[in-house]
Amino acid sequence: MHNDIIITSQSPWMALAIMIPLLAAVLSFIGGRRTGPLFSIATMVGVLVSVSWIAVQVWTQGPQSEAVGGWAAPLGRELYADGLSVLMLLMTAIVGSFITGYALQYFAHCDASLSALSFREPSEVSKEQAIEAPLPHAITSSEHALVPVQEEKQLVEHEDILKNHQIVHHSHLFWPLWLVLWSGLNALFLSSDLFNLYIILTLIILAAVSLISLNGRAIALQASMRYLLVALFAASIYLLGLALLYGAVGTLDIKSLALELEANPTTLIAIVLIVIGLLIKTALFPFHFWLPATYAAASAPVSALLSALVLKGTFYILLRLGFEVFPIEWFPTFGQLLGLLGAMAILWGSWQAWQQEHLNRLIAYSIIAQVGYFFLLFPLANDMIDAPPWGLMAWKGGILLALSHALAISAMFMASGNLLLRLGTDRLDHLRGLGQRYPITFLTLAIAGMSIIGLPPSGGFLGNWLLLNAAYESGQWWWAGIIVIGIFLAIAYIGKIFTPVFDEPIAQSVVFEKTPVLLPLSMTWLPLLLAFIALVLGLIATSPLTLLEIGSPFIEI
Amino acid sequence: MTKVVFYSLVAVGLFTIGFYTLLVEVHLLRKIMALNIVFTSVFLLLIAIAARYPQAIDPLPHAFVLIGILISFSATALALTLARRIYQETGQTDLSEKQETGIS
Repeated sequence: MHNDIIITSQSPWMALAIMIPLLAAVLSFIGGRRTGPLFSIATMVGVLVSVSWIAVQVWTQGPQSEAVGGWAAPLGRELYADGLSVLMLLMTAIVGSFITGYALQYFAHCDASLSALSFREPSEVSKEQAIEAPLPHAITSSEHALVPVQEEKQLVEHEDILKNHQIVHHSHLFWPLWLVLWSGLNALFLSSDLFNLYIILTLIILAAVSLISLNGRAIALQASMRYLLVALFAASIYLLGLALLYGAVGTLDIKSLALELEANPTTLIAIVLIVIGLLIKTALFPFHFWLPATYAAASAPVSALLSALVLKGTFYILLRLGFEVFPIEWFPTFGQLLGLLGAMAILWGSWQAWQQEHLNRLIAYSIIAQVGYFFLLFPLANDMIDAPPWGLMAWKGGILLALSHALAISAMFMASGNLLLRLGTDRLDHLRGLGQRYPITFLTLAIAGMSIIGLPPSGGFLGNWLLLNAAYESGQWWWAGIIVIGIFLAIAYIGKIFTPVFDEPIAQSVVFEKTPVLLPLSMTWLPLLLAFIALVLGLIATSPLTLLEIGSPFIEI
Repeated sequence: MTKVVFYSLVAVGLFTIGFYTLLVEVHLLRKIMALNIVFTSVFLLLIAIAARYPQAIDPLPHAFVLIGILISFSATALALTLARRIYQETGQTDLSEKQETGIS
């Protein structure tokens, strides 16, 4: 597909975008507790500079490639950047910086509340003490008054306290893990070799698993274990596909594959395996089963990272493979199948989101629905032989949706994390009447919700609009119907968050009175700013959309 | 039946066994072992593919397998650590929802 001349860059910026976070991760791990924030801020600056440099290079000169260590493509592993990868890198850098800023305060706050609580380890509490002195932070004291308190109960209460305050045991380990994840994501968006992508994917999985388990709660440990098993199995299916593909073609470099891949039964099986592996990781409809529990159990910054960035990583690989590597004659069927799964994801995910009683779970199910939208890109942009104008339109629309979703969903998870920190619960009926108390947090949720629904002028609106136009012009009206139904369902489930908020407060539901929590300003304003960027993305999307044309599969034909 | 086909079939068989075990077994250790079997089967396939031309062995899949072994090793280590932590926290060796006491 890449008929245009790819400029071989001499400057090491792409390698730097990968190496800076990796180096900082190692250093902050060695450096210990206090150095994490320092190295993360340094990385933030370094990555922003290198990514903007790559963006400028691509913008002015077209697609770039960089031979790592001077080894060229067939033998060495080349890095490659075009408009799509630059946009993904920018998204990672921006969202990553916001989450870094949020996490600085979040973990400091968690540590502070840990020392403020100063509860004793349950093993140290003797039975007599436990019976004599009721815990100061007993959550469901009415029940405990009746039941003779035993060590068993003590354990449960201890866990409840942990749960309600989201205490992070090893919060300083967030930084090296997040930096490894960042490095992996940058490498993923710059890589042009399928086996390299396998290594990077597993690196991302291992970092993500450790991040999920970070808050040490039993539920988070189980969620991370489930995620580990599912993701590694997905990776092994992907690797199996790679093995078959390598056996059939003899190369795993994306550019060489694009030229040499032929449509035959072996490559068909290989491609199906690769796609299934990636779909499991992207949580498209029948493979979404691991997502809600995992994302709802992790701490707020971690859920934000996973939903905004890690999901987009495998979607990006699917885009690359689908449009640049796979044989064109299979593409219509392949696209329709993915679109069908996407449509089912929209309907099922929205329906499930609407049924949830907990804010975090509602957001998690809404992700499943939103992932479905991205995949509508495949059937709408599938006619690569005639290359009609709507192909490019759908391509832009789907990617823009993914970008604005990254901004909006991370803002939502951070806002929801704020509520959880203050209230100790994320049950929707406990939000009753809190609209006036936490105006900024709910404003964040509302603005991010607008982008997720797709109301103008948000990026979500523009993305949906482009997809709708493409559906209309290509005559595939049923996809337009799905999009519209999805929008109405999104209004329903986003609205469900706000139904109780503006009601009269009920004394019973005011959980937070016991432990008034003051959050630092940056924890409330950073998510708001991020949600605001998602909102105005529809207005400023011209240059990102032009950037998408650089090196896109639709221009040359 | 050539050697390559034979080993490929063995790999597919191992993969199936691993996949089945991963789905059916509840115990975390068994799940982790099943995952290792799945990975090993893919490595076997890669080794078989490396010998697909009788004249010469293709070295690249061997490199893939080496890296793959590293990855599966570290993933297994992480999985075992997690399994141990889950046992410490909940006293159970599977991923089912937390039950009442009585687990030995």
